[in-house]
Order: sequence, then structure tokens, then C-alpha cells
Amino acid sequence: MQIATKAEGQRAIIRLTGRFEFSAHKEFRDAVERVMQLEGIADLVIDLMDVEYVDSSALGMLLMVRERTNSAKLGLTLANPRGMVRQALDIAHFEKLFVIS
Amino acid sequence: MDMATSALDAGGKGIRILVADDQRVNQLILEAYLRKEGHTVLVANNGVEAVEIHRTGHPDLVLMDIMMPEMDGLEAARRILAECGEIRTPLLFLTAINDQQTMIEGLGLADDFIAKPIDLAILRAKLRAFIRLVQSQRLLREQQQRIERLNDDMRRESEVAAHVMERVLAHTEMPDPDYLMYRVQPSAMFSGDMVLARRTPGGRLHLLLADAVGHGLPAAINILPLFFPFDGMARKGCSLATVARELNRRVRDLLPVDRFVAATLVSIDFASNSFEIWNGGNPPALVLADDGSVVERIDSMQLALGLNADNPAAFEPRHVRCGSRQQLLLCSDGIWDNPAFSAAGDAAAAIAALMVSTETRQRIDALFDAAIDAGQTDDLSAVLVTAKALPARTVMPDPRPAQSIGARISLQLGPEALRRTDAVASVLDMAGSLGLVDSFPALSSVLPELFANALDHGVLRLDGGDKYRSTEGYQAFCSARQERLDALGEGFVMIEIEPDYLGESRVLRVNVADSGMGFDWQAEDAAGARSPGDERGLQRVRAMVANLSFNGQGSEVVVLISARGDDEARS
Repeated sequence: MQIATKAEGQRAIIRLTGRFEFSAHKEFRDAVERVMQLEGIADLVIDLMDVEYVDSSALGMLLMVRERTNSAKLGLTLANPRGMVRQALDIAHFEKLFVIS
Repeated sequence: MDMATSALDAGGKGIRILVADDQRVNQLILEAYLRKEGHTVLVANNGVEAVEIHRTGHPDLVLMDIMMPEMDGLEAARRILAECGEIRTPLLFLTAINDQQTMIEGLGLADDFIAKPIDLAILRAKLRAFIRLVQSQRLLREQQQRIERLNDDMRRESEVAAHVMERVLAHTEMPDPDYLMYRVQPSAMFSGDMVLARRTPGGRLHLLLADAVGHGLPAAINILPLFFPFDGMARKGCSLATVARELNRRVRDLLPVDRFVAATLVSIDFASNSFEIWNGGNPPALVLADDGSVVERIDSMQLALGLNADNPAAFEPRHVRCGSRQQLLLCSDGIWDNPAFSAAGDAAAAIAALMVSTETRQRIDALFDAAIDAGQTDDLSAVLVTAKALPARTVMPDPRPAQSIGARISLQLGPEALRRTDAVASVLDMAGSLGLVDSFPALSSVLPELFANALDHGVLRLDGGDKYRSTEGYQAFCSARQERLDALGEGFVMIEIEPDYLGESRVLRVNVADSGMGFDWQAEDAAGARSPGDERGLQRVRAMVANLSFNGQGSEVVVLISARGDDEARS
């Protein structure tokens, strides 16, 4: 999986590409830590547009981010899930825990 | 510790050097020089001794003369190298020979030459390079040993874990092709998927298909804690909602924040082929007609176990009635997401197509074969329950259903029965096996509420005022409740359940009376919303029933529950 991060004003965007699975654990966590260190960030967006697959460990990683952003009082959005990713989020009923756009 | 490692560990750069030379004067020069440099020196007088000392003394480096009696240096080197394993002891020939053939043969065996007479400056320079080699060889050997040790440890630990898992799962009900088939296929040594089945005292079958995040040992450890509460509660006949709620609580309390367990819980009453089902985070459960086509799908209703708030509403099951010989199929996402089914974009359709083309008893194996052929990357599990072949009968109630149901449950629970925590569950189980829970689903929520009121506030005379105001209040309430229950010498709760009519509508009449003093229900009615009755959870009950009334001093409550889908009876 590839991870790109950027900041637009108060919003930090983590854009993922490929298969989001357990093997991406460390990279993903590092990317989250990195953007959360940025000055003046109020919202974190995880862009799933180019993710083709998520496994349950990836859902677990999203729960971990949610805990981090909640305790840092940041907003968190899961953006643009498509296909199997959308389906996995639906089955897990993650709309009850996350803002999905 | 191995002798061979002592010199380096003790002194840093000193190593063990074997000097093989038949000339006493050469031995003395080398020994004195090497000792002064901080090395340990072993001495051999000929090739035979060199081989022997190499074997027993574990030198890090060999300095070998070529021309020696008994056995020459070339032969000794050959034997020493043959005895070395993957890591060869570095070997240097000491030689004055200018014979090209011997040089070539020697270079095939040794790592280097040192010309005689020995120039100590050159010896020192060459040794420096070989000491580095010895050190990295030693590091490599230690790492190899460490990896082997870790592997051994892991194997031993895995064996213990596998043993425990196997023994635990051996206690679940075995598959029976007549009504229950299931299979679990881990992708590694351990499964993060689990299927559990247990009969309740009332003859229902409680089922659980659980899939923990990830796979392998960590996932297996995450699902193991579900076994005992599931099995214990099923044995007591607890309702599916109660089981689901308890499992959710366990997962939330025990597992880290990024871990959860997707689960489908099913409770089956084979007498009426009615199913209760709760799906939290698993792929849809499918009801299949006899020919395998999909009649109904039950999608994930809630978050997975561990992620739901501890709120009863999150655990209300769906009720499904199966026709004769129809089947209920549950799969984990290992099957649902497998390329064999997901490649075409509609896993439900692909699974249904396979089911249609497969004979009933082969269906589970057909699913697994297809998934394994297409490449298994996750744990696989599936359950197939077959509804009983029932004689044809009227599903719709006949004109006088009270007689057709012909059941009335009436019982009085004294102190001993009240101390049993499963009293209500047993009553519900009985009502369930008579088909009453199926026809009047609200019963499973209403009865526990009324029973708790009768016991807590009636028989035990507890004041619920602070119960919901704070955690401390709740804890104080619970411990007072336990104390009084333990000490209870007299008192009773009476429960009566009977199908009845309200106008033209079928209803279930439920009376719950207790030996307590009642309460001022008229004041409660007059005051409206936030009134004494609310402390007794009656607002929730009111929302679920067609009518609620009190008799006498408020120590008897009567509710009328509407039949399923028959909401016009509600006032």
C-alpha cells in the first residue's frame, strides 16, 4: 500500500492507495503520528478513493486512529470509500462510529 | 557457556588460536607473541594432534605448518574443514615451500598463507583481518542459536495454546448432517474464526459464528473468551439478546481498542422452525430454499462485538421463520471476500449459484473447496442449519387462536427460585418452546423488566431512586440487592402468561404479581412522564405493549402484548 500525506490549512489528508491490510500497520501508524504532529491541524481526512481492499485489521487501525483523534479533539472523516471498501464499512456498520463522506 | 566464546567475551579482541608446528622454536616464538597480543594459544606437534585439538579445544583460528611428521598440514586441514559445519574455522598455512603445486593445493583449503620465516608485522596485520572475521562468525552463530531457541519456544507455546483451543472447542455440539453442519478452516495454525453450538434447556439451539480481527494466534486468543459465556448462558437458556449483549461487554472489556469480533448469533426453535438472528459485522446470513436459491438475506444489523454501546436496543434479534427443509447459511468474510465469490462483484449471487448446483449435504464442503481452489488468505468458516420437515399446517391463526395455542404458563417463584439468576430465562425458554415468543416478540423484553420490578421493588423493597443517577448509586443498589436476596426468607413472584383477545386482535396477557406492598400507581398515572413509576422502568414497558394496568396496591401488573405485525391493537 502507498501512503501520501498533505496538509491543506487546518485539514490533514492521508491518502491511501492499494490494499489496506495488516502489512501496512507500521507505515500507516507512522503517517498518522506524523500528521498529528503538524501545527494547527483541526481535522484528519483518510482518503480511501484508491483503496481496493480493506481487511479486518485495517478496520482495527481505523478504530485506533479514531481513539487518537478523539483524545486529541480532532475531527476525523473517512472519505470516498468505493466498491469492496464501501461494502466492508457497511457490513461493519462503521457509519455508527465514523463520519463517512 | 561454550568454551570457545570465553576469550572474546572476556577480553574483547583476544581469540583462541591453534598453532600446529613440529618445530619447537617456531611454537615458542608464535606462542609468546600471540599471548602478548592477548590471545589464547593451543599447541599441536603434528597433524594428528591438530585435528584432535581442533575437535576438543574449539579454536577460533588455526595456524598450520605444512611439513609435519605423522600427518602433514594439508591432510590435517582437509580433515578439520570436513569436521566444520556451515561456519568454517579460518585456517592459515605457515610455509617456506616454494613448490607451486603445494601452494595451489593449499590455497584450495586455507584462507591465506604466512611465509616462513615469520615476519611478525605481517602476521599481526593478517590476524587483524581474521579477528574481524571470527567476530562476525561468532555473532552469526549466536544469532542462529537465538533464532533456534525462539523457534523452539514458539513451537512449545503454540502447542500449549493449540491444546487448550482444541479442548475448549471439543465441548461444543458436534455437527449433525440432519440439521447442523459447520466447518472452520484456519489460514494458519490457529483460527480467528469460531463456531459454537449449544442446546438450551428448552430445546432451542443457540449458535455463534465469530470472526476476530486478523488471523493466527492473536485472533484465536481474541475469540477464546467468548466460549465460556456463550456456552454457560446457552445452557441456562438465556435469550439471544442477553447472550449478545454479554459477549459484546466481554470483548469490549478484554480486547485492545483496535480489536473486535464480528459475530452472528442464531437461536433456533426446531419445533416451529422459527429463528432469532443477530448479525453484528458479519456478511449477510442467507435463507435458502430447498433448491438452494436465496429466499431472504439478513444483513449485518449492528457493529461487531466489542464496539456496540451497552444498550439493550442494539441486541434485539430479527425473527425469521423458515419453511420445511429450508436452510440458513452463515459465512465469515473469509468466504464472502474470497475471489471465488467476490470476483464477479456479487458474492451473494455467486454463493447462491453454487448452492443451487450442489446437493444439500455437500454445500458446506463445496463452499470450502471453491474458496481454497481460488486461494485462501483468511480463516474460513460457515454454518448451515436445516429446518425440520414439518407437516403441512395453517400458518395463519384460526378464528379462536387462544384454544389453538392452548397454552398457559403459570408459576410461582419462592426465595430459592428467585435466587437463581436464570429464573426469567427459563420462563422465556418455556414460552419460546410453546411458540409464544415467536408470536409475541415483545415478551422477551417485557417479561424481564416486569420480573425485575417485582423482585427488586416488590419482594426486596429496594428503592431504585439513585440507581441510574451515578455509577456509585448503581453499585450501591446492586450490593444492597444481593444482600437482601441472599437473606430472603419469604416472599414470591407470580407469573402468568396466556394468549387472549383484545377486541378482534390476538394478544398475550402477562400478569406479574409479587408479595410486596405495591406502590402508588395512581399518583404515577396522574403526574405523567417523570414519576415514581419511571424508576421502575415502566416507561420502556409501556412503549412495547398494547396496554398496561395495575391491580390492587400496585403489586400486580397486567400487560397485553400485541402479536407480531399486528400493531393496530396498540392503544
